[in-house]
Amino acid sequence: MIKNAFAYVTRKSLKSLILILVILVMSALCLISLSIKDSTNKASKKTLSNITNSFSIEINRQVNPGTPRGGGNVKGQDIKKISESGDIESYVKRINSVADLVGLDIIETDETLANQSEERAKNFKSTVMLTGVNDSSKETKFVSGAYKLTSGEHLNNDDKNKVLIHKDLAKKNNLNIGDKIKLKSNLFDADNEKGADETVEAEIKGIFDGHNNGGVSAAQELYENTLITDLDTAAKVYGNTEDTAVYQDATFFVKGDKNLDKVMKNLGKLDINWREYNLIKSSSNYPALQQSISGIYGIANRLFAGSLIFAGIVVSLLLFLWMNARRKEIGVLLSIGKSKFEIFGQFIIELLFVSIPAFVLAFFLADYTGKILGNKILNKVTGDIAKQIARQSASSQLGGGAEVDGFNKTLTGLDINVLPKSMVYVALFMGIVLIISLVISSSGILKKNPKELLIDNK
Amino acid sequence: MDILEIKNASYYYGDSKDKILSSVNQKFELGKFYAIIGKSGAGKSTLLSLLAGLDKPKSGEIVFKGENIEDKGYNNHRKNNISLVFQNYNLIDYLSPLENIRLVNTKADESILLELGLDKTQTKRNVMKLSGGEQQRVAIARALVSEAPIILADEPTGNLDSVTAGEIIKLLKKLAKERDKCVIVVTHSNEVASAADIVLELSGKKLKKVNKIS
Repeated sequence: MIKNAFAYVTRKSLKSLILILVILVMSALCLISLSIKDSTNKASKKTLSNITNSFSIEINRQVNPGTPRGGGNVKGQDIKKISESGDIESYVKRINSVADLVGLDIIETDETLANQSEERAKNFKSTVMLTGVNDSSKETKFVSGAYKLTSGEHLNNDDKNKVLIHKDLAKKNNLNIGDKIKLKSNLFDADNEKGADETVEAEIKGIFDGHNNGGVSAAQELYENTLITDLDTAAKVYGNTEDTAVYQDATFFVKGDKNLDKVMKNLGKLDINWREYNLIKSSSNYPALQQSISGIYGIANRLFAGSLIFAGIVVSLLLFLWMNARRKEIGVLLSIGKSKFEIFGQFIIELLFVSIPAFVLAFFLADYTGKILGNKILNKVTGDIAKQIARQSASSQLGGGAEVDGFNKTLTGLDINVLPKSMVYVALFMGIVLIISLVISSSGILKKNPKELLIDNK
Repeated sequence: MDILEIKNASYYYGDSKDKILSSVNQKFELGKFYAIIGKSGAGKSTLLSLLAGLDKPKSGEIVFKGENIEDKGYNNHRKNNISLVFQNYNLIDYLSPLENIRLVNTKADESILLELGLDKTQTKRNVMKLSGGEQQRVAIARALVSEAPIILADEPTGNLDSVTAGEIIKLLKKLAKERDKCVIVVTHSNEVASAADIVLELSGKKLKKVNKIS
């Protein structure tokens, strides 16, 4: 059976070649689609590593106006209750405050200078925004990619009197990692409700980079004039401690084995005034990213299914034609006592001999063309999303702050590699398609008795 | 010794009920060379296909060594009890002569082909590159290596020149005598019929023994 199958495949070389080409192209397309999905998974995991399993607590602005300046006033106690609920692995809480840089200059642009009133110039001449966090690596702007740490280290829970400073601000004031700066409470800041007049000396632990996407009207909105600090520093300039401070928001990372939706639902049982807060999945802050991922998935799925269906149809038609040409052969084999099972077995082995080289070649073809095709698909998807966002932006008011960064974020590139695992899947699926095609194309002939098949050829 | 018997077999195509064969009875013995003659359309090939288990009678039975061939299956009958030689050879076109004969016996070697007049090169060449006579020899060789006791041949000399046809007839007769086979040949040829031990004529849907044609 095997020898005859090999003889057929090698001696009917044109037929075999046509079949190899069809299986090769279709398998390569299937492989590419799986590889695109795989690399999309990897890219999204890399980009969304801290997003897909986390949620944030923010104030509900419909009933809670927040601080006098409109900032968040999430209570530290409520954050603590959530963090101790049993489903939370870690969390980041954020204090937004304002302080003056002592003896240093902030960054100004033509735009901020043009918008500056005399009073503002006087009261907020060297004012910077402080974002106090317990783990800066998980801070929203770092996660979204709006900020990137260029040197030094991130702030962690043990840090006290430490800051991360913007590269341009550091350069303007000739500051480096390890240098110390002084931060002083600003008495004109509406959120400094206690009228605190504290001075904190903090050491520069790291330098970051990143620039606003949109235009800004005040110097304090510039990323360059933002300092990332430990919680204590940000709280102290308002005369608070970590425990007494109010928080802008907090992000919670659920344990790996927990379902995010269930965890969020269960929190409703906690003794917290939920009217004042909203719980928001972190991923919902990245609609374009989600759209780009689902867009690529959609195309990859259609490519995969389309390739299998097309392969099934083409192979069925080819085999149907070729089976008809083999009626006499089947009749002869039946007349000399070969069973239908043996004959079908030979056809299967023939397909195997044709498929193996096709699969091997498909692996290399997909590896070579997948990168090009995958990134073309990505460009198409992100291009469409960009147009959609542009339309949405035109009809809505999106601010120039860091929160907008996640909104526009999409996948920027796919590192496509064909994995052996994908090859196994493709071989399995394509094998099933080929066997179904063979059954469809040969069942009619194999049902006939040998006499009918031999008479047809007389 | 009776090896094959057709008992009360009738046959018609489809639902026509217009019988080709009607209550045909005949016994066949080992060591005998039978010729079945008859006009075109008389049902000779149909009869042969029933004897070969390529088709089944609408009524009646084909008995091999006292057992209805349906009991052990038609495929079993074709595989173990009979070997077929066709007018148009019916060889597998992508195989060599040697590979063709190995379809029925994997242990077969080229000696049978050499014995039947092919040379060594021809045994490994694609079978379609051989002449008609050479292809018929391969078909006969395939029937020989099967070791089945019955050889059924449908117009085996129909496509051959008279010299080659004569050689094939001698060969079939030799098989019946020397190898104790039951050789049943459907033919139009008087030469074949005259070489047969028993001549049967299919006429009026019945099979009748006729006097030997000389």
